[in-house]
Amino acid sequence: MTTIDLPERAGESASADGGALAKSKRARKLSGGSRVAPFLFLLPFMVLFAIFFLLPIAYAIYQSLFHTEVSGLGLGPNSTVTKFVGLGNFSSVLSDHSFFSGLGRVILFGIVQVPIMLALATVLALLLDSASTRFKRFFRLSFFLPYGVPGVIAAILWSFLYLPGLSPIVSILRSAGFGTINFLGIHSVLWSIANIITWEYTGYNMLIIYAGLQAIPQSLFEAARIDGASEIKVALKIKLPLIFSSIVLTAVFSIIGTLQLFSEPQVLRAVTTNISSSFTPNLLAYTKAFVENDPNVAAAVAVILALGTFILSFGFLKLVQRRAFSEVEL
Amino acid sequence: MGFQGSISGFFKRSSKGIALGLSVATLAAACGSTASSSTSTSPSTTAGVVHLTFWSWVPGLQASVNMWNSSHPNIQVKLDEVTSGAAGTYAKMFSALQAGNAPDLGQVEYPVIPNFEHVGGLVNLAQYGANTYKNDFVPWTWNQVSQGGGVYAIPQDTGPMGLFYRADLFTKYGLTVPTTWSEYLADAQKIHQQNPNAYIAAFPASDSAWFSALAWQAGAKWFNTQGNSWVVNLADPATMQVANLWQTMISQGLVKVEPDFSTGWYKDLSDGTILTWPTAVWGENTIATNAATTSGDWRVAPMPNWGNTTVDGNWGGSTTAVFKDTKYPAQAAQFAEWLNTNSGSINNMITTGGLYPASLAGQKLPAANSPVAFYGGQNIWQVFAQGSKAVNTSFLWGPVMSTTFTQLNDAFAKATTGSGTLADAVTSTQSATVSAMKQQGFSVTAG
Repeated sequence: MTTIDLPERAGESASADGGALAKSKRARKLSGGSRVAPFLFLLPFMVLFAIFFLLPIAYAIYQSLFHTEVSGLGLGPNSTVTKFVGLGNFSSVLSDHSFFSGLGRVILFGIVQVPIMLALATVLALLLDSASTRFKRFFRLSFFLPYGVPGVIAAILWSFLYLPGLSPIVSILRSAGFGTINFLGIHSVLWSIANIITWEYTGYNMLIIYAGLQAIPQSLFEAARIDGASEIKVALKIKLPLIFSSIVLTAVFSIIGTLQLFSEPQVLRAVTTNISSSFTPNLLAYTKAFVENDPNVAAAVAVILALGTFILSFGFLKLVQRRAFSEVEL
Repeated sequence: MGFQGSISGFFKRSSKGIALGLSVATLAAACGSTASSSTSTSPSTTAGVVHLTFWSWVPGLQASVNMWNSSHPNIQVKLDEVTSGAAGTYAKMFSALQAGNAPDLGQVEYPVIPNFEHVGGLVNLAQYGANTYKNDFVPWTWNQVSQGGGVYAIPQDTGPMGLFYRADLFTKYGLTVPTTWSEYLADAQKIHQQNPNAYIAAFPASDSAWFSALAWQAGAKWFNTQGNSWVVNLADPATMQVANLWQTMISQGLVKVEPDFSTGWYKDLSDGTILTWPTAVWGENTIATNAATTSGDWRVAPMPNWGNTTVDGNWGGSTTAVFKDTKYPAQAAQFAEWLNTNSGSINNMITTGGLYPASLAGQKLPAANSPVAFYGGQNIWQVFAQGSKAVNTSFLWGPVMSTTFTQLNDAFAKATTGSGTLADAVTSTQSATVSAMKQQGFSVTAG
């Protein structure tokens, strides 16, 4: 922020000092081609942003306001009309029991999985950053490696590890006397998915936090050591507060990711019957759009989900903002 | 518009000539002519040559299309190989219809035809002489592609049902091949008494299409039309009979609840955990490919029956439909009819596509009548030819089958994890289907 502010402030003071002359000079400088230049530079971004971001969102909102209505048997060319229904699709989604059970499921998932994953990521980042750690590069790479495996592939890999009869984990646990553990049962499957997500994204979040740690000036640690602080004390009292904003960032990403849970449950549906077609809100939207051929209701689900994600992630930011930003200013 | 008019004028004038050409081509292809790859579609649109696009996922269909293209220089078909309908092609077709740029022709499975009909996506082929082919096809297929006086697709293949069973394990456990479903239940109990880790079958809770085939066999009539209204009757006595049988087997632990076509299921088919699979003719290839180590162990018997009369069900199969956006409906209809009645084309679809034809003449081709080594040299096709004749002809699909199947899948999954029974699942799907149809504006009466 400060680096951007500087030239502006300089300009202001210059115009204040130099008076009318400087002002007119500045106006001349910005007139003609040079005033357009910034926009020209922005144009490629703005065009792509509009085409691939704003337009689809606008189209989804537009779609969500219509409904295809059939009359009679629904046969013949004139039996189907698409008409404007206002918020009709939204009310039908909001009165749909399966939407809320899916939403409740991902929220429960987020409450349990996100803190575990972020705690793990923070501990791993602190361990990597600790002065006494050896083979740092090796560990950094191997923690991050799961993120390099595409989500769908990871889910397929794990599905083999969960399948009774194929899974070495299941058979090892059985021979160790734990009985046959069903990772894909009606109650356990959600946590099996949580395990996949944790495996996949801990390293990624660790890297963000680790990058935050790298940005802390070494002088702070030196000062602490001179004052006699132990390695653990440095981690808890200096590093942890300073990387709080990084943790907030990873938390927001994780909340968004959790609400959009889709590919892992979709892949696991092939090996278990315990993941319904509306297991997560995104899966419900997918089912509506691509199985039931009802893009309008799917658009409504997507818009509601986007709003919910927006509210939750910004709500979370608001909640931790004061603390996070006060630490940044330090 | 002028160009289009002149083309259709040209076609009308020369329709006799084309019909003649067709029969010659039929003869030539019947002699087993192989496809010549040299006759690829020319990029230039010469006057008088019609170009059609066809979306299909049948393996090796290009050979059939090549046969057509070489014998019909004025109607050139371009085949686009797409993923199977449920894997995304239907979604693509529906979007394309909405956008007005659907292909001329497409592969459509029977249960989806009413869905395409109600979005006005299909051309009525009756006006292009489709009704003359009525008696060339298995009767139930024609009932499913026609509605009132209209014909909305040409049947391509079918999936008559049979009982695939492990002959070696049946001997081991001292079982006789069941001819009725009560004998099937008795066999299931015998198997499980002798080996608690062996099951007569898997119950695929997430595959309600399979269940629909069993209900079809039992004489269910899920959908029907009465005047200008749909009659929905999912929970009829025949369906309930099927639901109760499988519920009994689930409750007693005689069947293994797991998704079909999954890794675990393939393993169970291979290692003798599952002894039978009541399925359609195309299951032949599924077992042979995914349980290759059991070669020689499987045999096929007619489906167990509910009473004394032999009735069969059908699972799968598809049709060739003409989409509304085509500029050349007559030519497209002609291709669809040729594709599914020409013996050379059908022979190709049997041998490379693994389809069991809907054409009665096609079912008599040698390719669909030879012993199969994997099944110990049994001529399994005879079972399915008999089954095909016995398929209940009155079964119809509803207009929102994808919703019905999704609901039934979810409800079955719930039932198999202890909340409710399969019968409850059927009942709840009945009401869910009726309310989904009402919400979309259909006029519905619950049966």
